Amino acid sequence: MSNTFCGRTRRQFIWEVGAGFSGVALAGMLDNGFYANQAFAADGKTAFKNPLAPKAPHFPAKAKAVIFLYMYGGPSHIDTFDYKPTMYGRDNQTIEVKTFGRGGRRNVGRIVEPRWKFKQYGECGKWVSDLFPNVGKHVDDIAFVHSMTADSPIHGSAMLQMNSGKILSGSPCMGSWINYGLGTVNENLPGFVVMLDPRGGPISGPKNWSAGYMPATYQATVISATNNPILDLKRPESVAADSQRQMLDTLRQYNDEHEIPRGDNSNLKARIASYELAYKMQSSAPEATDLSKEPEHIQKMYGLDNPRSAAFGRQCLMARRLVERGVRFIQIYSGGNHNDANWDAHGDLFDNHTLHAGETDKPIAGLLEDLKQRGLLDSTLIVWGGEFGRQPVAEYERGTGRDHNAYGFTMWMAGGGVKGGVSVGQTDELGSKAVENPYQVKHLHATMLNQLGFDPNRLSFFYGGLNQKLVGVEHTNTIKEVIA
Amino acid sequence: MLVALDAPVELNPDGSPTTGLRSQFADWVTQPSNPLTSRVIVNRMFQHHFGRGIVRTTSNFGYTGSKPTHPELLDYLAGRLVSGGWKLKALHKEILLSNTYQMSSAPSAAALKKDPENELLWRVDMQRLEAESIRDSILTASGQLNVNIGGPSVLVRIPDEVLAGQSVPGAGWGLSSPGEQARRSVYVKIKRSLTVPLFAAFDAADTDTACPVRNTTVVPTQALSLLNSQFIQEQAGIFAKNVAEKYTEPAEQVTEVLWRVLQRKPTTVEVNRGTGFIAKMTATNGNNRMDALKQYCMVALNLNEFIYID
Repeated sequence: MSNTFCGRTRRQFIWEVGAGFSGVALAGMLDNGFYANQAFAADGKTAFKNPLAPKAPHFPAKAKAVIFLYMYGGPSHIDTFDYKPTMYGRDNQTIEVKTFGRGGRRNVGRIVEPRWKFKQYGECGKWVSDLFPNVGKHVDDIAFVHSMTADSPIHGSAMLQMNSGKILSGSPCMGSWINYGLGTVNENLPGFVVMLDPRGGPISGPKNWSAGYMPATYQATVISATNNPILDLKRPESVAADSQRQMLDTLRQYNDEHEIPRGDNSNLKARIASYELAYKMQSSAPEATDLSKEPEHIQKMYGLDNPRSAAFGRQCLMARRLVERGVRFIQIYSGGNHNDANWDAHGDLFDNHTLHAGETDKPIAGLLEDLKQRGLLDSTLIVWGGEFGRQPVAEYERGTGRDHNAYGFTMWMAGGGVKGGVSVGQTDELGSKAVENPYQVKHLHATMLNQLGFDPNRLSFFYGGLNQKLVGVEHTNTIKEVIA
Repeated sequence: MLVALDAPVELNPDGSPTTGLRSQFADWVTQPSNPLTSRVIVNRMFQHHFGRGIVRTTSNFGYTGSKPTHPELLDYLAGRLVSGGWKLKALHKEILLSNTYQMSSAPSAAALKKDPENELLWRVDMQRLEAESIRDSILTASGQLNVNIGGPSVLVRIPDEVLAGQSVPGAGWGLSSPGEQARRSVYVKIKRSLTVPLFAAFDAADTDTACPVRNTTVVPTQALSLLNSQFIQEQAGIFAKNVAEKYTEPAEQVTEVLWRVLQRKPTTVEVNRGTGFIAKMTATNGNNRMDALKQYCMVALNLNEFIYID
């Protein structure tokens, strides 16, 4: 970013405006390009300073968009992608192992042997469990990070960390950072989109897609796969399209007349233009999320023909359509609400993971295949994972339920300039903790920002006396081994 | 602060049942030799009247804060506050009666050239209403605002799409009676993880952090909210009905609608534009007179002049 804002440093500039961009007297300063480049509204003549107008990152980016497949609740790494052959045959053995979950800290546990068989896939020969036979076919495009760690073994705080880098609420989420840093190339669509599981949102709800201390403009737009994709986008049925257009035309006449003697206040022009943009959004956003024009073979590719995978499949297909139309950051939640409505397998591990993997395996594979065949995988970073993994031992005296495990878990990435067919880091032979190349959530975030063309240690927002960063104020490295 | 902590502290003064630490701290904060407290308070008052403080960094008067644009004025107001017995009302009155506060917001080419950012307050800056004031003003225009004082918070409608983001959709929220829902926005319940969409759209404070200065963004989602939300549609309908009960002639109706949203007498051009719109609307799309008047109320509630104050 340029270092001169009206002859000041950025730091001075933001201080002088009270870190708030409030007060219309600032309009003149904002004109100089802090927020955005100039764009034009639907009428082609009214300048509109869209805070989401496209901006260039620090250096040429490998990835233009991110699709974060968020497995809420914490999928078990040793039952999915982190193969632990020596655990088989040891079911119910009592062992010494340090664990920390919702049940507190323990030193001893009873092994729950992985409940699925693993098979080798691809040229890289990656071992993948029978939960993901379709994703398995794409391992040569995937980089697995098996040595992830998180700061909290509790859903709320761990989710906030995975989404915003901090375990407390109030900080902008990753999508907000990308919205702030890149804007959106399609002004008719939001830059940061979240799609929720039909069973409900995650714990803490909107805190997981909030813009925190940044202007609310940068927060996510929750898009529903059903009727009304964006809140208040749909014109009320009682109002004919033509009536609304007439109404807007008359509004425009009043506002233009009002604006003429106040021509120095660019906010008035911007607001006039915002109505034209809103009107355009009403037609373009539904088109983006309308899957009816997708051919049958594509719908099948995403598992739309199977009721079990149809909901997540529709969201993955919508994500592809949004990426094609310039949306930067899309997060899709697998799992919502509480208990077994998400990956939080405290009860019956087999039933829980069979359900959630069954809902997502085909759609995820379809998304990877479809992006690849369209040449979009190279520029779209796919991220898979949850807020933590699960323990190798049972939570209770009986049963197969596993408690949370933030000491070691697996995330994977594909596309967007990430190496395929590689596995980074290792957990111990039980998967209880990361032992080789342990990485923290901030390293994952740094890697994602890097692929989008940002220096993660430079993308900052001045707030509360600090140049705040997604990765924190200390220098943070990327996970270099996964970068192509 | 350090001075306060260093000074010997008498606990339970005069046999008081409490330690008395808080009142000692309050006495220390407000002692006449500490100018900071009164400066900070008057700066905040000033910010709320003028849209920005004399010190722009309202919550930071330290080394990294910005310098006051009018240091003498800041000290004058701070002095008035203390000499007036820390009474805020008299100071509000003094500010509001000042020539500076009463300046027009109209631009002047010469002044804009010398001081484009209006640092010297040669005019008053136009201000956009805050989220809560926008909602209250809509309710006032429609005649629905319930000005009762006090009592528990009220729950207004939050659309299902927004409730869907909760881990248990709808939990911890409900719906107050229509009369209660029309209370002033200050009585609307603030739930940390669930924000009323109209407030969020118009830059209400984030629920997690202190907010010394609000953002004032202009984005299309605000327009969508004021065009299509159930709240605005309902209020526009009530607004139209309310006006139609009092006036039958279109010119009278338009005049009343504009009076209510602009608080001034509309011009002939403005009234004629309105009656023309109603006539045209009534003739098309199967709209009846009430539909047309409701659409006109929508025009009025979306006017820039409605939410930007000169």
